[in-house]
Amino acid sequence: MGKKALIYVVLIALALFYIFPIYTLLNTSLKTDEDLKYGPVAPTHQVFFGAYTKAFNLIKKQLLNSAVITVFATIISSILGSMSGYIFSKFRFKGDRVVFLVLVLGFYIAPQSILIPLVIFMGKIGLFNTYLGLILTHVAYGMPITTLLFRNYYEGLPQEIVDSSWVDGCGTFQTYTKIILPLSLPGFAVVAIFQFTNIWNEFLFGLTLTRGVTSQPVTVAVANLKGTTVAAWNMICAGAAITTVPVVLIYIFLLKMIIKGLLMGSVKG
Amino acid sequence: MAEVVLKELTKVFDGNVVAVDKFNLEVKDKEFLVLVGPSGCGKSTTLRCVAGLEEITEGEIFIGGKLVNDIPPKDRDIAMVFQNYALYPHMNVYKNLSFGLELRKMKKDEINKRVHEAAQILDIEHLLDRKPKALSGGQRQRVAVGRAIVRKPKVFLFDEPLSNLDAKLRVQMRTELAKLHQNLQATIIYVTHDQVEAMTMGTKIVVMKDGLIQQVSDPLTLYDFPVNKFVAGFIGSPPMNFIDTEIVKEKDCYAIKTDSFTIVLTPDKNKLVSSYAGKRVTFGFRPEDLIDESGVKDKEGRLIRARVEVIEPLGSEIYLHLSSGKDFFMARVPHHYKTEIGKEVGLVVDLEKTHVFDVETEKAIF
Repeated sequence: MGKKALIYVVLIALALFYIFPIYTLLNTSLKTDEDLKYGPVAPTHQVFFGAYTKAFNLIKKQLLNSAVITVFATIISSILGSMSGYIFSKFRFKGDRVVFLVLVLGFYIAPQSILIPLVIFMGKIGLFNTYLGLILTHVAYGMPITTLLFRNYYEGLPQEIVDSSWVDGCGTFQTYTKIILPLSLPGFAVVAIFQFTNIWNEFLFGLTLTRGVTSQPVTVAVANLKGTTVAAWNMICAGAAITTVPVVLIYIFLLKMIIKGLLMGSVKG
Repeated sequence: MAEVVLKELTKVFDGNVVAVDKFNLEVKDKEFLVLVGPSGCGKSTTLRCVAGLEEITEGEIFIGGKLVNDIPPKDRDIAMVFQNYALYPHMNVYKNLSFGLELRKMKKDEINKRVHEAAQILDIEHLLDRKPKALSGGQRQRVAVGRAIVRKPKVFLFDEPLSNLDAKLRVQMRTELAKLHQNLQATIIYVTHDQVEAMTMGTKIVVMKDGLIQQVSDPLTLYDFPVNKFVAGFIGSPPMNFIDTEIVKEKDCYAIKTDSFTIVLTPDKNKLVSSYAGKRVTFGFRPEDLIDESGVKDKEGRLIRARVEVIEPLGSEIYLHLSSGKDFFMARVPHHYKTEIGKEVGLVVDLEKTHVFDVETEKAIF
């Protein structure tokens, strides 16, 4: 009994530790300007939504920017990752391992190291400060991880299903669209959650590849809520809280799609 | 329907693993050819080469007289049934069956007709709306076979299709596939590691080992006249007994001599074994070719006295594990045979059915 109690104490302590930042964020965001002086930990004396309205009005354009960029970049990088994952998983060709390795290594290139050439390049091809520029950057940066995730997912798909479709009359692309794609839903859910979260939360590319509000993502806008002289912490926290909502929603929505056993019955069960 | 010809077919995998080595074979029209051998002998690779799923390293493959080396699987007019069924999990049974026909842009009426025909033959008409996950193993196997039938291909390829089924179902499907072959009058190439499947279904059997053909012949020839020790030991259950021993000359004949018994070979074998006199050979005889000495008159020169080590009653018959001197072997006796462990028994060898193999080359001397 004592052992169980101890475990619970430890677990509750860890949970509190984990929840604490979220508590301070929500707590601060609901404070009035007056209440701010008691610090982020002390509970708010009065629930006040004014900071939310203010923050939302300041970042609504950037929220839209982020939505457009994230949705398109997530979809494109997932589809491309799925295609290349399919090729790397189900085809053997000369140098396939080297090509795959080089592709995955791209994951380890620090974004900071390519910032200057990237900004210059985007400027030269006229994509600086555009949705397309950011979408392309995120797609390119996402390819290694989406390819890796999809390749691993397709490794679990029996080769015989692919073989069978070839014997049945499919070509390479038909096998992808008619067999692989319909079986990829759980894979897409995982990759989409991963990509959506990463791209939505991304800051560095958003900061450097945009100017003004035209295509600026919301992460940069939230950072800019902190004025030059005074920091309205309730508004900054409200902005951050608003920004978190889409990621949480996507997570809940896509999680339902990760259905186990989608493949059951195809091979010996 | 069509014949399949393999000429000098060679498949080398990365890292120089030779899976199939200069394979020559002719499968006649309407033949049920079985490729049999232990795991890793290259039988599945050979089949996948015929299907076009493996690129071949050297050689030529002809289907229906046409060279197909560079033709993709979909244009080879073959159908294949896989070991793990490989049904499309997101399609129902009807769609699984019709998929190949739709890809070939066949008319809807014709597709419908063929699917129902095949479903009727395989008794899966009531399952057409189900998804594969709602089917039992045996039903899935039928669907996999059905998917091949609807296509009416020139050649059917089966890659160990029964090995995932339980023993009872396997026996049942074996008969059904044999029946199917008679009905369809199709050319079938069938891969299995199970020699019982090979013997019962094949009209011609190819025994393989290490990517090489050991023997090609009809089931009975394979059983009665194996060309080497490997084939002799692989075909037949329980397997043939082998005893490493010596050949000696005795009067007008030659004899197999061990520490504990002597088997005198018939004079017609003289010519074959004369060069082996005084040398080591492997003596082979099947468990079913040993009979109890009682009631046998001329047991001179073919009697083995042995101690019973283990008794395995199977109901219909009994397997006896025996020892004689340093040698161990098995006998298959009728179910009413009475004996007990530790007892000495006398068994007579059927001289017509004995074999002698060269120790080094393992080739059959007779």
